[in-house]
Amino acid sequence: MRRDCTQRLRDVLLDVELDSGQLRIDPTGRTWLPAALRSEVERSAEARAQLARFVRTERELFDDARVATDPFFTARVVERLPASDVDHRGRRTLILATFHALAFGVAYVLVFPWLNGDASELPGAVHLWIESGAESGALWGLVLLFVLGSWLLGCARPDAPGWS
Amino acid sequence: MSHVLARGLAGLARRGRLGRGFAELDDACLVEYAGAGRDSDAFAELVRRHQGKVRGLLLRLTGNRTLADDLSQEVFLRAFRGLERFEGRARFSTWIYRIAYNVYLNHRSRSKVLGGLPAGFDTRVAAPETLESAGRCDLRRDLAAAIGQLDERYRAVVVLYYIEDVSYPEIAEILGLPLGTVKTHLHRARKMLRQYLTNNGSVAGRPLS
Repeated sequence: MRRDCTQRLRDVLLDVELDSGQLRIDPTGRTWLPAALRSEVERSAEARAQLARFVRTERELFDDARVATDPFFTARVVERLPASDVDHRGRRTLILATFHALAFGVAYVLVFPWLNGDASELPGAVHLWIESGAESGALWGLVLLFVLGSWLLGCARPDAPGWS
Repeated sequence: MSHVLARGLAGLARRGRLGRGFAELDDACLVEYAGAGRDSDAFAELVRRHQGKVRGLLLRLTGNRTLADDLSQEVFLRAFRGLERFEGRARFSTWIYRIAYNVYLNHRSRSKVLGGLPAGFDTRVAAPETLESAGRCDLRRDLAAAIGQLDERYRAVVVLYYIEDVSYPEIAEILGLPLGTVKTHLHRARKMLRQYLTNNGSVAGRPLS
């Protein structure tokens, strides 16, 4: 009779599927052992020991399934990431800024003849102001301003690659 | 919409405005940043989250801590390269376990020595990382040895099963096996584990003192 009980318990334990939480909460099997078998287990010291060994082993298998997180491991992986793929926030921003500046420059060159031919006072005045700035060396400051402005634009764009 | 919001939050966090980082985001968002954005910080968070289980899986498959860590690094590097192709049909964890298993298979086929277990498999696996009772340490060693003696097809199933958050269909997907085969393998593997522990007078097979 006792042998039957331990044998049946062994068979049940082979198929039972429990997570570590269930094992921790209910190590005696009150909620997950079949009722008939449970009462037999309660009467048999051998079966109780068998059940305890099962629970201990299962919990250890679950607990040991993962190793402790190692921050150095993460650092080593990140260090080995392909350099060309890692976010080149600065480089991307610089490229973006350069092309913004270039676009401003091209726009200026395109508008320049129109400004000369047109009698409109405001654009002409702006052009004259820029021209005089160039003669006095302030044009470089203006270019710098463009680059800076473009850089800020590049940084502020939410969809820019470096933003996220 | 939630992704857009998450993206915004992450961007702010990175700039120090919220003082929080990628730890707030779920795997799907992190994959988006790390994949399309090639953001190394987002990827580092994914590594931090999943390294324990990936390293644990490879440790149990190889029985060698150094080798398991080397292979785990390869796993994450492959994952990073392949992130843009990750379609999100499976969970990120399932996908990375599958990569881990493939990396292990590749390694094993490269090195015939690993066709069998490396010498000292059981003793090298169970080194405790924290202060533990001698009994628990012995039990860990015995379990590692018991897992190590399993045939490889059974070992992979049983190791994935005890990772806990991996379902049967996911195990089947990771190993490329039919669901029924996974269940059969698991049943046999658990039976063999118990048999081994009993036959070898393991701590797990002895009555509690």
